[in-house]
Amino acid sequence: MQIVTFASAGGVHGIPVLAVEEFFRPIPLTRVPLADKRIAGLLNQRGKSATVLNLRQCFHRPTGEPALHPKMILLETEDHLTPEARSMGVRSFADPVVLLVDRILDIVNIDRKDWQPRPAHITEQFVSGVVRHGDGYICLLELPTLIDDIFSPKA
Amino acid sequence: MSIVTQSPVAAPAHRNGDARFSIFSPVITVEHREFYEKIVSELNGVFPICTQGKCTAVEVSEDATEQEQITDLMKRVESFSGELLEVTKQLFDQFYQAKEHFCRMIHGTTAYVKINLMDRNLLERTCDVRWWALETAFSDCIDLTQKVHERLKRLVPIAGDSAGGKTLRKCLEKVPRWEIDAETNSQLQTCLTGLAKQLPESHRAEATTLASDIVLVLKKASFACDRLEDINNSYTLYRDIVIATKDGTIIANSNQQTRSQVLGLNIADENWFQKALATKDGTQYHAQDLTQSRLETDQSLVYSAAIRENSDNYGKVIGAMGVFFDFQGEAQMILDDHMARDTVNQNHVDDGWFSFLTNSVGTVIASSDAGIIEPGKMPHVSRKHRTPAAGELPMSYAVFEGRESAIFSARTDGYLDYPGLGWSSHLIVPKDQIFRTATVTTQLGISIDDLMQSRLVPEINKQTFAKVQDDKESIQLISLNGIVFASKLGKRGVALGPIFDQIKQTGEFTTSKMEDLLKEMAIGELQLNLQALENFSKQAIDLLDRNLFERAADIRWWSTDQFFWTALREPTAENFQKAAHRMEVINGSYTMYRNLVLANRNGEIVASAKSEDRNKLRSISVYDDPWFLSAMRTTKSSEFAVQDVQKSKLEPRKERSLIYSGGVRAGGERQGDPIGVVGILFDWDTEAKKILSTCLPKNRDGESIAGCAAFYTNSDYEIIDTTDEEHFPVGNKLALPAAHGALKAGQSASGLFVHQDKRYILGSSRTKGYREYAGLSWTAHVVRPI
Repeated sequence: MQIVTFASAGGVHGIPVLAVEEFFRPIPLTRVPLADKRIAGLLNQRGKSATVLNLRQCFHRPTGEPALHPKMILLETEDHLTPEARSMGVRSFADPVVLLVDRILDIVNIDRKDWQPRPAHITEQFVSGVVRHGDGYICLLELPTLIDDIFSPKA
Repeated sequence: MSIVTQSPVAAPAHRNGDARFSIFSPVITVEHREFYEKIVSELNGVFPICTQGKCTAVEVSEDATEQEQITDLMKRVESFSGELLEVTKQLFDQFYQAKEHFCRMIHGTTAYVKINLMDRNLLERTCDVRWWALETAFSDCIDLTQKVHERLKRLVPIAGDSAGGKTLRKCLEKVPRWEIDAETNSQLQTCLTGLAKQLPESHRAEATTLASDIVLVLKKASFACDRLEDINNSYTLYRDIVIATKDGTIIANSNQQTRSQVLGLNIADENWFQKALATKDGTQYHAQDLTQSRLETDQSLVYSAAIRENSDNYGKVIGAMGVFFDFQGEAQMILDDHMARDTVNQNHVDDGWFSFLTNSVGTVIASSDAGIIEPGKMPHVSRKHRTPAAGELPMSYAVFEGRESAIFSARTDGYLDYPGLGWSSHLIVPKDQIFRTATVTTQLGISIDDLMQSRLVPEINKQTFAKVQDDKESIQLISLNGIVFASKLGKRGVALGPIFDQIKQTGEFTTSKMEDLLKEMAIGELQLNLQALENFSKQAIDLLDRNLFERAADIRWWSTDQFFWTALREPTAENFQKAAHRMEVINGSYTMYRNLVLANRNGEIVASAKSEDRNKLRSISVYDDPWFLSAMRTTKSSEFAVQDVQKSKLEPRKERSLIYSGGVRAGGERQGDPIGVVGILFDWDTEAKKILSTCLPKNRDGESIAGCAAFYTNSDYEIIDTTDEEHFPVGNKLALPAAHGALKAGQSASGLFVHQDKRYILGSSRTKGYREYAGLSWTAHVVRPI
């Protein structure tokens, strides 16, 4: 499975390539008053309005400084997922969502059997597991869990 | 006199046009050419990949929008590759231009500094000769000699062909001459005494007086020689100092070794002598360019001035003084300095480095390696280098002695009111030393990222660095988007994957290579900056040493002044008045002294140059002052003492004083215990600040750089003078980096330096002294903020 890796909040994270529509440099945002601090604002990409999540704010204890030149990842909407993606169990969200991250790192191929469950010290529910890559670990993000938590938090 | 003026700055490098470096330029190092070729071939490889991508798009997709998307991505990649190719070329251009500019600045300035050091020295010499020619010992001697001569000549026909007359003629023609040689003198004396009995009555008295007068001439001439020796003992940079009568006969000289050959020589036809006789008054002198003189075998550089009746500035010319400067010795010292040294034998200049001086027509007059660049001949360099135009610092590449070299030249611009003799200084440096690639990165003490952000890296390089990083990101985003796009095409996209992979790899490779090059440039910039600071600090300490050498010479010379010892031996109000007047006269010509004082052996100030302070000073005892004590301990007139920069009660209103002192001996004797001390208070802060302010670094356009400072520290590394009272105040003790604190005489160091939480680069040089003046263990420092 191809995973795109990126840096955010001091860690390396990954999501399936098939869940990505496009990478781009930040474009001007419309701030949303009184919104959750994890929501950076709204943007308009190719006529579609998308919600921008500041991934850094989603972690309990981010480290390091936010990047000077961050990047954005526009996620595929659920209905645009390719049949291949569905068959592999890639899940997404109904409305357009953009992740604001520090840096896009690479696209890597990982084997499903190398996945390990989320270690106990990581309390973020949206981290579904980790996988060893090179010198360190990539945290695999479960996007629907994250997005659900923001959009419809459990009381 | 020593006033410092700004030295010209190397012309700013040409930013465009003629100074472009083609990759085929021979100056480009092999490593860089390989590097460049790799980047070019990688980037050129992108274009066919993109074409292939466009074709594949048509193959894998029938959807026009999809095809267009892919083609669009490919086009963007192509345009980025094209831009990167341009940026790479520009980078090399900047890299080599910056290096060339820096080297032009460093070596061009060095070539200039060499001729300037010589000019400064020669200026001091012009003051010397005028001042000395006015000594009464010399005018007295010539006056008497000439008068006695006339009278002897008149006596010759009267004595006629008698036995006495023949002896008289013989004695007058005899070498060594009667004016100087005791034996001939006594023969002449016997002859005259004999004649006094034989001659007609009317001339007997004259012969008798002459017999005693010629002894007086002998005494006066020998006293003149003594005084010349005193001068030469104080000012050691002369090979000889001579006094000649109006008809060109040398009657006194300072060099004992050559005295027997020199005295009696007639130099009436030598240019320096004729020019000296032609001067209009005592303020004029003549500087004779290198010439052959009967006095020496080497080429001589002679300064001359007229000796006038009664030592009066406007008196009748009665003779001339010629001073023979040790040009060859001085030139050797200057030429051997600032040269890379052989790593094994530090006494040898490194191979391929040459330094030489040429005269106004381009003939070599001094050379660091006489075996290769022969004095007396034309050097094998282009015409524009042999006789460069005034104010220009030409630099060019040429093969010299079979080695690719860079040649830097600088023509004299004189110094203050000394116009110079049209000489030029040249420096030849092997080219590989200029474009050598920076290798050490670990010992810099600064992270490469900090360095890239520092003020040392020119704005243009920072912009290029930002652009390269931006392009790197763009290419990465394009290729990642391409891979995402391809993956969604499923099986159809398989053919596209490798194309985007390739683009991604190429983009990463070339951009990271370019980042490396930019970092190498930054390190090179740092190293050259360090080198420049080192050179500036060396210049600062060298100029100071030479200045202080003159002070050491002055004090030794003045300590022998007869007004001073007379006043101490016969302490009458009138004699003190005379001594004080003499000090006033000296101080009038030597404005770099704040005051001159004369102390008796009890440490009481008995005379001083500044009349307004005289009463105040009279009540002061200097008995415990180091300058007084150490001068009292000297045993020879060739010794002097100095009190390092510190507070002195002689100048209660000044923070710090620098006092040179010498022992005064009765009768102007050269040896023995002093009967008192002459102290000279050097206007230290003014002179030091003047020198320091010329040793501050400049940017590429010759403008001064904000935050730079230059200062001197004493042997305890306490600041004794500074250009920046705010950040590096006098009295501050610095915690210098270890290498800078452990410098030995004549050594230099450079590196990073943190002071008051600010980061600087620092260049330091410790005094090596000049000639017999050992220096005071001071160090000069120049800092530049980063």
